[in-house]
Amino acid sequence: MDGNYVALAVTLLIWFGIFFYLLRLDKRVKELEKRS
Amino acid sequence: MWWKVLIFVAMSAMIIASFVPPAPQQQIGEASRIFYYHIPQAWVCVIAFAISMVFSIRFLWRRQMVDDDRAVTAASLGFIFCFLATVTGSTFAEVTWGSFWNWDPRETSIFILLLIYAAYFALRNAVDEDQKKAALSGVYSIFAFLTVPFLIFVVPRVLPSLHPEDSIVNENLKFTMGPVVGSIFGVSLALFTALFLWLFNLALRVKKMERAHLERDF
Repeated sequence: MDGNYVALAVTLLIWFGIFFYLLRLDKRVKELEKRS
Repeated sequence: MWWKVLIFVAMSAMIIASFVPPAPQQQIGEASRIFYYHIPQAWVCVIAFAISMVFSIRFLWRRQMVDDDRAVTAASLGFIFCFLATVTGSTFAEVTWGSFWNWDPRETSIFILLLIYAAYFALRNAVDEDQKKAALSGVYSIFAFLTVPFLIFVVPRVLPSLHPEDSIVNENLKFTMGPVVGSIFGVSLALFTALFLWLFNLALRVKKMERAHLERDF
């Protein structure tokens, strides 16, 4: 069962990383769109 | 913005839900939890390749580069999701069959699919002129997608395979999932599709700016 919680923590960490990276990318693209 | 918050909260909840209740297939054990990720990835891969084919047909019809941009973006994302489905499938194979790669019909067919789409990108890189590149890869994309239902749905069912075949429906086409497993799986399928659409939109906006920038320079 402990292994499951480790896998859960790693999966959540990967998801947070992907989500915040995409959010930042989206914001940057929006800024560039406004500028051009 | 609200839909991004919704994706974030729902995906986080789905990840927690995929690890906390009992494993979806008791006879396979804990490794069967990968099913909540592996099948949605394969599903998004098929959707993306289908979108790529639709925009390829549209390009060949209207000859507008924006359709080619959409086709290549969808194919790129489809390739990434296909690769992820291969990696998750291979991880499952290691835990249940004892080896990452067994040349099982499922593994072989997804490997061929990856090669077919790798050749699509190789073809695009081999041609310099934009219209010619789009037309050639558009025709290729149509033929490439014709192999997808055959490689994903037909081959693994015709040939004997170790791959579980009754994860969603049994041989009588009846749902085999219980309400909890079915709900988590349905939410996962919807969220992976939403994530794909977000990535698709983002990549297209970048491509549009890139094209505008190139046109300004020349």
